[in-house]
Amino acid sequence: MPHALSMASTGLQALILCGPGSSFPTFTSNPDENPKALLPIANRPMVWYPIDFCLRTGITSITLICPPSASKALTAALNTNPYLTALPLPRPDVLAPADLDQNTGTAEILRLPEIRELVTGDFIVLPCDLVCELAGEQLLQAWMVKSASLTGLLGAKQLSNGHQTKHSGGLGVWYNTKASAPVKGEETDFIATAPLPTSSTAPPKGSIFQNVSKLVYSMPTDSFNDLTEERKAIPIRHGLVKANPRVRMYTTHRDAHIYIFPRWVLDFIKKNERLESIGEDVVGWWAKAGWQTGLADKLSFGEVCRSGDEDENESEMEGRSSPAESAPGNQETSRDAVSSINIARDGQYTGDKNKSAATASKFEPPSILAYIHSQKDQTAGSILRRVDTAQLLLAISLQLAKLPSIEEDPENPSPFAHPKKVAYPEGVKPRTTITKQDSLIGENVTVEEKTSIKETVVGAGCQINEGAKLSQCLLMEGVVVGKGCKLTRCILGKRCIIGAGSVLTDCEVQENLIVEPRTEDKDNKLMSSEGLEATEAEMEEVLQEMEEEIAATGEDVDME
Amino acid sequence: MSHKGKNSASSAKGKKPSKAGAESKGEDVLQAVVLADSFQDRYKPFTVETPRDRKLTLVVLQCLLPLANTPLIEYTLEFLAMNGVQEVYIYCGAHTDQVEDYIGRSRWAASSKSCPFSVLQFVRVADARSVGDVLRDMDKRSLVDGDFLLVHGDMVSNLILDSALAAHRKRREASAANIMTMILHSGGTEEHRTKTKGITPVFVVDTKTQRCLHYDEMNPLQSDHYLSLDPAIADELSTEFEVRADLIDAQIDICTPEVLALWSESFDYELPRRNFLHGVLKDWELNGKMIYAEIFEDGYAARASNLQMYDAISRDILGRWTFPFIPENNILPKQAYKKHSNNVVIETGASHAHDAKLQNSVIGTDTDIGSGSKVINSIIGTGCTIGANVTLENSYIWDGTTIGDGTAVSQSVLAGNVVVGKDCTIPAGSLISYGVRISDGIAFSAAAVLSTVTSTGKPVTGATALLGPDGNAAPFFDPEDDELDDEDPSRLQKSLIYSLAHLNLSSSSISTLASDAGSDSDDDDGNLLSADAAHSSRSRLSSFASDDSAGKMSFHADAVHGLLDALRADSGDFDSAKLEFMGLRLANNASDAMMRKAVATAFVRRAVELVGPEQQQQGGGGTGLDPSKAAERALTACRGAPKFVNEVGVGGGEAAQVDFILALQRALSHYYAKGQDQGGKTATLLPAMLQQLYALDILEEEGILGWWADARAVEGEAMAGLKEKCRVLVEWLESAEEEDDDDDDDDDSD
Repeated sequence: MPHALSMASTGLQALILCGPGSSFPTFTSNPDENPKALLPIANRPMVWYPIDFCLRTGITSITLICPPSASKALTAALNTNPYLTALPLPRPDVLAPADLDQNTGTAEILRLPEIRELVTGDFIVLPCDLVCELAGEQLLQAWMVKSASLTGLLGAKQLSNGHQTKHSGGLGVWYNTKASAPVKGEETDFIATAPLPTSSTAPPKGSIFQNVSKLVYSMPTDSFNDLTEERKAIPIRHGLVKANPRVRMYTTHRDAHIYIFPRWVLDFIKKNERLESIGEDVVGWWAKAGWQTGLADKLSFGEVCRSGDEDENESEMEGRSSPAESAPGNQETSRDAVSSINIARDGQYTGDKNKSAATASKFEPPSILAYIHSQKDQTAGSILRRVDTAQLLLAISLQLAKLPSIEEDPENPSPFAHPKKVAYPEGVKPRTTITKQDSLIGENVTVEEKTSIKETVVGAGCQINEGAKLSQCLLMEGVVVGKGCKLTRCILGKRCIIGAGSVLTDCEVQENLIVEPRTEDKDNKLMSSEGLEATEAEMEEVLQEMEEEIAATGEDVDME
Repeated sequence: MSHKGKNSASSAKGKKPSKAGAESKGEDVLQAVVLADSFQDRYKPFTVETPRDRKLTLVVLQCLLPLANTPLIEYTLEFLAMNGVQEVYIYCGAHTDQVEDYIGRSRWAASSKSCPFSVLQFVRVADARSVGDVLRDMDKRSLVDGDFLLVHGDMVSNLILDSALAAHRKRREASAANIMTMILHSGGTEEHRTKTKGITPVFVVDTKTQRCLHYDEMNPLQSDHYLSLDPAIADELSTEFEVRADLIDAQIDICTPEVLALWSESFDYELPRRNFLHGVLKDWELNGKMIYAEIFEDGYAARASNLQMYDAISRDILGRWTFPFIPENNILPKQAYKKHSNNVVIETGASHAHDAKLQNSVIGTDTDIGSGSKVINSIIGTGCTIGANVTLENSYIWDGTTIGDGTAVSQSVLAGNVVVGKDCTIPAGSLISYGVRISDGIAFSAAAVLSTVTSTGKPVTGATALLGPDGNAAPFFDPEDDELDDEDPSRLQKSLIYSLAHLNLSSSSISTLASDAGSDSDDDDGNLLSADAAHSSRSRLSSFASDDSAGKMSFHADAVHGLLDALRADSGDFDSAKLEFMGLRLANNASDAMMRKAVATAFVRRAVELVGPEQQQQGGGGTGLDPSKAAERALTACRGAPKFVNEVGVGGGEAAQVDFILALQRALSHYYAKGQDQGGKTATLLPAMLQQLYALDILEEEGILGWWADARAVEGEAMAGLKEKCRVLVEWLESAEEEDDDDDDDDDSD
């Protein structure tokens, strides 16, 4: 696997949020044992992708954050799953904060004491459902250069004012949901960006700078639609247009939930207790604070940034890298000087709250940048998607299955390429049809004769019996497909068994479920009643009714 | 576009017409319509109409005003020639003869051999009152049959439109619904001299198709701080669009005849952008038409639509941004400008003393500059005489003006044949119209707007107190300014220097945070968030307050207008006006104080009209009345008016009466302070009105005396001055107080 092991440590910490999350009702009905993070995307567990992304980026300090109830399953998977154990060392840590449950908002997670203790410097937040082929170092580069140069610009002003140091901004990533493999009903965000000040030097070749802009507005499209419906119009503040005369708005892009944040963001979230999620609240309000007069104060940006200075200063002394260090070295001395002045001034201000509030009123918050992933062409290395619905799981798995394997294209393989399209050719009987260019067959899969597998991902240990026809399906591990089944656009959970002769179209089948032979169904979620158990009283009622029925009819009732 | 643009920059100007002409071969003939009158007069006092022919020929149309010593319309016609236009229709409003006369003498005349146009036709529309009227008329005449360029006569641009024309044709061929392409110029996100001040155009353009989805205008006076886009824009029309407030709009449009038909359909559209474009885009579902925007990054395009833009474009010409339209290229055939060092362009025949310091300026022929003078960033016309030790900075001196020794002029416009004496000081922002004479040693403390005629074209008596013994002019005052709605942004564009300093803008309305759009997205969250911050209630309150004040402003304007109309009708019944007023009051939830103010203002305005000489216009007769007659007529001419004042305007005891008198006083002080004192008549209106009101039993002695003692009555010089005029009345009242005691009871029962 092409991991950039030689790359120097970036000093960033990565947090991968593994749950809460239950957007796959069919497959994560028991999220503690079957966490969403371990669902397979093209045969690899979901969490493999963000970990791989971090390692490719050169981030080795990776922590998976999960609810305590799910930590066991996750730890076990990290130690046993062949894909996860195959990842280069060091192994990611698993952190299960005590107060994290399945309903905690993403910003609330960052407010937890365990996380605040864990994060000591700049950090990157990733979701577990991210499939990002893009090289992370490009994002880091964009963040370091654009964020550092921006603060550098402000730095000149601050020197004369003497009460502010420069602060790093943040970076988020958005991608176009309609560019490739569009999925109906995929969540989107409404975002608005303004161009960054043009720099005098041409951007380095191959950089993504031209797609980096300043985020000025972000909200989920649903909220946006509610807003427009309420107002009967799209309201755009004059303040926004005045502050940013050129605002570009996107309606079909989606937040990839890749955030590169400086440490002070934790304080910002701590300070503003009402921020619930990172994407909607933290980033949304931060973006707005960049141009709305007075909002930055209200959200105490000045305060948290300034208090963050001390931390930053400390971390610098410890030798941790921060974006300023990647900038020309002569800046460092002045930076240190400013920091020390600042500490002195902060000391003065402790006794005088009003005064510090007055100085804070001029504070301009560091900007949050947006990288807009254009994905215009289907070129290699452009896959960037979040997989948080079953439809996306299927679509992205199939998209990844189309990537040429290392065997086929050893020169320039995608980071997501599998060694072979059919991992265990010995299990495939002759006289089968498998379209290799768009299918993926896992380890220990047995495929009987006269089967047809087209555009399908088959997980490890599956058993496809004679005459089965699979088209555009996703099979998780250990699925048994009976003889003569015809499955189209189906997602089959772990170890489920499809009875012979079944015809399923657009169906989702829960793990461990046994589907009766000759079942015909369309557009359905096949689930066992487990978890939907009735109360005792209800059961008795039903039993009574049945008894009555038996008594009335005298016929045998199949009690199975 | 880029290579074409370079061509234009490198090739001499003479070659261009043929080149562009060759390009459009095979296509149908390109036509252009020039709107020589924008119907939005922002060049007063230079464009005041004179009813009789006077000795001086005054230029009335802004398209004939000199810009860098070349009439504005020349730039427009050069631009059209450069882009291969062959047929030109010039639409004029009321002053066709002036334009016709000018063109007839220029190289564009049909008889002239060097005229590049095959057709150059003038179209008169005498009764047009707006651009809309002109275009609707054009639709009727069906002069144009294919694509045409619609431009204004005050436009300066060096853009080569080939690429835009080609794109337009392609779109038009793709669908007949694609009716128009606007040519816009990107001004960058930073401040830009040539961006229009005051009114900021906002275009919403799809990034992929360049379709314009919405148009709006922003100005600092608006009380509504939101742009409201059609939800369909995000829903179905576009997935990626830009909201651009950084564009410079020279109002160059490539249109199909469909555009004219649309104008005809909407009879009330007046302005091509604010009404037409906004309306057509808003009703996209209804009309099914699409308008596109071609945004040029290079090149130059701007419209000298007002004095601020005139200033900006003049500076751009001095900075050579408008190449090839720069002075040394001698746009007019008879010009002979040559460039010298220090970026000074001097026409042959001009002379200057050797020790005169010239820098970055243009100087016309037959102009003489005395020794020791400094001319910096200025444009001086032909036949001017600049004395010794004169300082001219950032100023525009038109033909035939004389400036005496030792005078300093900064950032001002001195129109033709102005005579400024020695050792005068003319501060920034001054506008001095044709033929004004200023005596020696006059120093204005603030920007002066001077004219020899009033806004209606009547000669004024010289304000010798202000301009010295030779003075033949008076401060110019446009009554239309007063009529303007408080929120009308055009008032920001009437001066040479854009400034918001004198305006009382509510800053709180800009910094509304709590009622923020984001909180609407998630109401609980937003509200909680704001509740979190200790000072949020303040911001929320202030945002309400600002909304409120906007409502008040519109109430005041509407109410005063309504009442004034009723009063002007003189003999009519006042009841309907009263009904309307009360309706407005309810609609706006106006307070007693607001009503009082509106009533007082309306009656004062009427009274001022009656004393003033301008009343012929307003429906009166004869010359100005004397104050007491005017007060009587204003208050009693309409049946029901006194009762209305008593019930609505005053409506109460002593405190209310004091307030009403104060409102009257304030309204009058407005005129008093502006120097609109018609020989002291305005000031004496106050005692006259008070007396009249007293006689009508609307005011009582207690009210008047209470006002007399009130500290608010002497706030400011003008107020104090007005109060003083009432001393006689008050003394008379005081002496008569005891005797009138009995009457009070009667008054109360009224």
